Amino acid sequence: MSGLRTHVFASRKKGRMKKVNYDKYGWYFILPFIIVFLVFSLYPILYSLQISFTDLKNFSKGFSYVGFGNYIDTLKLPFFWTAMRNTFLLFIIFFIPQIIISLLLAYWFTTISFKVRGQSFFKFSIYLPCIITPVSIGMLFGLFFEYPRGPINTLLQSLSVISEPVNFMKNMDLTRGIIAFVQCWVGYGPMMIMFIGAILGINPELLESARIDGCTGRQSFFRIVIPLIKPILLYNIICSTIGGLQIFDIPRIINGGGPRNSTLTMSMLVYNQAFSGSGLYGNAAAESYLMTILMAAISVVLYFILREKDDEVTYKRRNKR
Amino acid sequence: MTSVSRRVWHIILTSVLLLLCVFPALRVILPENTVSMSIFSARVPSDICYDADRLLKAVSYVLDTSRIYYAGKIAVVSFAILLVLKIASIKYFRKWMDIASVFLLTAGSAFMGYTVLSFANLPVDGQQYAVSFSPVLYLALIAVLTAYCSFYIQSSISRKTLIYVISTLLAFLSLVPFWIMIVNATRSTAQINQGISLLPSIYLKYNWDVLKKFSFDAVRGFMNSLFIAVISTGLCLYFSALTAYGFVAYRFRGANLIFSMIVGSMMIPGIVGSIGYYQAIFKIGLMDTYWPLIIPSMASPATVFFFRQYLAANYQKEITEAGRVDGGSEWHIFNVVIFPIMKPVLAISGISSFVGSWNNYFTPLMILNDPDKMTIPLMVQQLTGNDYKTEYGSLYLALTVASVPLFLVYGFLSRYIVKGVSLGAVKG
Repeated sequence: MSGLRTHVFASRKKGRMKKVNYDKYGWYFILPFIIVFLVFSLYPILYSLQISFTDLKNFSKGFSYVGFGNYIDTLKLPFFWTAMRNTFLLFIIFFIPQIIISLLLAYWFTTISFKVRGQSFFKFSIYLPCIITPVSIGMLFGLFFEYPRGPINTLLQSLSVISEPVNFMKNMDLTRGIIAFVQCWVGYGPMMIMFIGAILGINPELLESARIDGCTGRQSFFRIVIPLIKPILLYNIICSTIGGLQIFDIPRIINGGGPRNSTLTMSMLVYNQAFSGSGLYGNAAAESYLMTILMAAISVVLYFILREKDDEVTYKRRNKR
Repeated sequence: MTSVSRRVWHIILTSVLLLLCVFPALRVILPENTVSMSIFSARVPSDICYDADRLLKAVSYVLDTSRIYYAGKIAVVSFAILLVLKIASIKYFRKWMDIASVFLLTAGSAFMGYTVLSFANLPVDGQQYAVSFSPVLYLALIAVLTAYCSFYIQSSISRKTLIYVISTLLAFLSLVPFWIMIVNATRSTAQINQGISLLPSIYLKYNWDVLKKFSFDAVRGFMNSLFIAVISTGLCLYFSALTAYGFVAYRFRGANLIFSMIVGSMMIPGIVGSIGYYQAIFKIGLMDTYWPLIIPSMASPATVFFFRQYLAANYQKEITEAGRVDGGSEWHIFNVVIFPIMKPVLAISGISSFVGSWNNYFTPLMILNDPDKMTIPLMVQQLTGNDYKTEYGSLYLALTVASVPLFLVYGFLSRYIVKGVSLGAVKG
């Protein structure tokens, strides 16, 4: 608000110029956004921070400040470490294949010399899963992997891959595998489209001249395409990391965190602490803040790892040594 | 460089292949617990250990088992044909031979993998063990074999075949689950229990009647979800466009700072504000209403960012100035002139905003309790804990019904979606 006032004041000062200053309308136009943003995005975040230092519980009228008590409690909580391990495990097993598949597909679909026909069909169908409600997808795959006579069990039995039905949802590794598969399956479509956009943004003459100079497909991919789309790649990787570490819908619907908490993710832990009966809002807020700190740390690490690699300065430095 | 890396790849692939072949075989020979199979297999037979008699019995059992025998035979035959083709293709029909050999190699490796793994998991003592065959290991074996094979056929045409094979597989992997969902919605539970079918049956009406008993009121869910999605999409588009226009058309103090804050806030994970949001909504007394689901869409940083990038490239100052000469107020100019200009990006963002709002699960789960106000994802989620959980046909029908609007939206507007995501990437 103070910026607005100073600006109006400034424009009054310039009134001598006899030119109407329209620039204050910029403020008016972004004002609704700013207000809603402050009230519905920023305030909850700060309020969460406040709650994380209190012992606010369900149905309790007052609360008192407990300092870093919630954070210490959370770090002592075995569930927190389980959830963190699960989240990272799931993230790694779904994210790496997802990036590889989407980059590969994007490269194939954009390379002119391959001339892949029916591209629009491939793009259409590969993108489809990400449009459908994640809850429905989770439930669909839950039904597919149903224990005694679900479609996957009957299929595998009829192919005699297995001799007796497998209870997928009672096995920790298999459940994790299924969830990671579904996440990856949902995710590589949009990522592919994103990368296609990025690769199409590269100047085609570069690729063409590389081809004329006798660059093989693999070389032009690793030496030209990857370095040029690196900023977009980096941005996407960081955003998907932040999104991917918050996985909630699909693991919750597929198995609700079971078996034996092997698929309990961090978001599920926050939700369970706050909203399923116990109502420990203070602890949940502390957990969500710990999660955020972790994600920020990972993003920063990722940023520095991925940014430095092809930097000219480091290259020179290495050569000097 | 190429020859060395080729040799290294060769060694790596061969060793992985050998490992994959030998590893399961170790299980038969070595005593229990020396080889950990927990990653690969669902359950390890408890009493397999080294015993010469058992092994002999096992080998004889394999030879009796016609299925494994046939698989092995097919694999050997396809590899043999492949060898002949490879030798022949040095002289004639190089392209077609290469294409054929890719398919043969894939088939051969699939059957070979089956044979090897079946052999490794044979039921010793003629006893059937529950899960001795590990699908993960099988897939890994096929993948490595295929990679191994495609590595040796390096003409561009065979790579193209590989591209088509993989893209088609992925496309079907994306489509088949939904097709099975739709088909199973028309089948009875007994039919579903018998196995997968790709042809619809006649129990759609029956499933629908069962679904009605679930208290799965699809129409009400639709209306609720549609109401929220349409209003929040409208608000999101209008106010994002207004904000983006404010940033592009006017120069005012603090604009850059605010814009970089908006961009930065795209990185904040949504979970961090959730507890505070819930508490704030609870305090104001807006629990169980749609306001907390609709209003926040007015401030959508990603959309503002996208719109600003679009306007920065396509907006000319003369448009606004012409409007001013004609005597329009600034707000009027935006409504009449600028908003229509933004149609292409409005369509793109509108779709993603609509789908995002329709699919939203976490916030409604926190806010909504009243069954009459539930959105589609919440209703679907409630089915998981239902008494009718064994009525699979109607569960599939519920999922189908819940997905139909999205299929429709996607079917008609997929062009925009695909374009929009890539547009955003180019500009980002």
